[in-house]
Amino acid sequence: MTKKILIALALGILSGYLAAPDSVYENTGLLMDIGLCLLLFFVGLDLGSNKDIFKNLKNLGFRILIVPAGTILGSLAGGIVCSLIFDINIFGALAIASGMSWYTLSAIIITPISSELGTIAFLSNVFREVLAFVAIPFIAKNIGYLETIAAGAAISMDTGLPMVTRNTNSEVAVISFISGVILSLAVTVLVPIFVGLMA
Amino acid sequence: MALRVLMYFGILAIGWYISSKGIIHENLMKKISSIQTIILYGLIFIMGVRIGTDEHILASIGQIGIMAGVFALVTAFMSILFVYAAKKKTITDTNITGGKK
Repeated sequence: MTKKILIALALGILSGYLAAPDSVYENTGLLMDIGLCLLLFFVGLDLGSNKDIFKNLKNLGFRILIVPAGTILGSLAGGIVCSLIFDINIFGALAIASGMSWYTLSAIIITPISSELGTIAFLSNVFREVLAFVAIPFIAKNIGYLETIAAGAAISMDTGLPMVTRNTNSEVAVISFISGVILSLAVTVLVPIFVGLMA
Repeated sequence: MALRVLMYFGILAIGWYISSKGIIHENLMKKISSIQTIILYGLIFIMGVRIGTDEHILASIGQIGIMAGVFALVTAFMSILFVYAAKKKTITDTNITGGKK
């Protein structure tokens, strides 16, 4: 599946770069929304056909929260590592890492303070989303189901959800949606905090 | 953002309700996986088109692409590592944890 994903992505990038006129960009947003809504509807159909999902998740209880908590702590630890590698402001690196794949929001908040870090935030979170898409089949097969959510982070409630569902199962799909919502909320809190500390 | 989350939740809930009531024909349910795959590849293709047409991304890749790539790799890797370590101690249900048996 990873190969097919890479091919689809590469074809898309090439088409966008070589063939698509500028006006295409705005319409792709609408197409993505439609495609995403359809996929979420199908994920809902999958969930409805599995009667034991909520019983199984009830048994997990608050342990479900280890996925968003681990994802946030891991991203922040990654930010600290990157600040050491590139010798950049630690709060700037933490702000970038707190984007957790939500590239539009993190870049918009960081750019007024530093356009360079804002661009890194934008690009690194785009890369993280693409990386998650490509790596999720491998992660699900070789590492574990819950780690597929950690890879994509905030996208686990929308664009990443169909990928997680396709490569894991209905229980993990529900955990993915819940985690994605929590992680998206965390982005709105963490990025401004670190940007504030950076300024 | 709240509206978007509600919309996604609403769509999931509609799908769940229709399926749980058995309204969808069994034959269609069997085809859902294939339909999902087709839409998924379409979505990834469109994502690629967006990247390919976005001058901001293309212009930045040359300057700071490596730094951004390292950020993406390290943050994703550390998140995976933290979740892997935390789940090992707390969740034993292999249907949820997955991975190599």
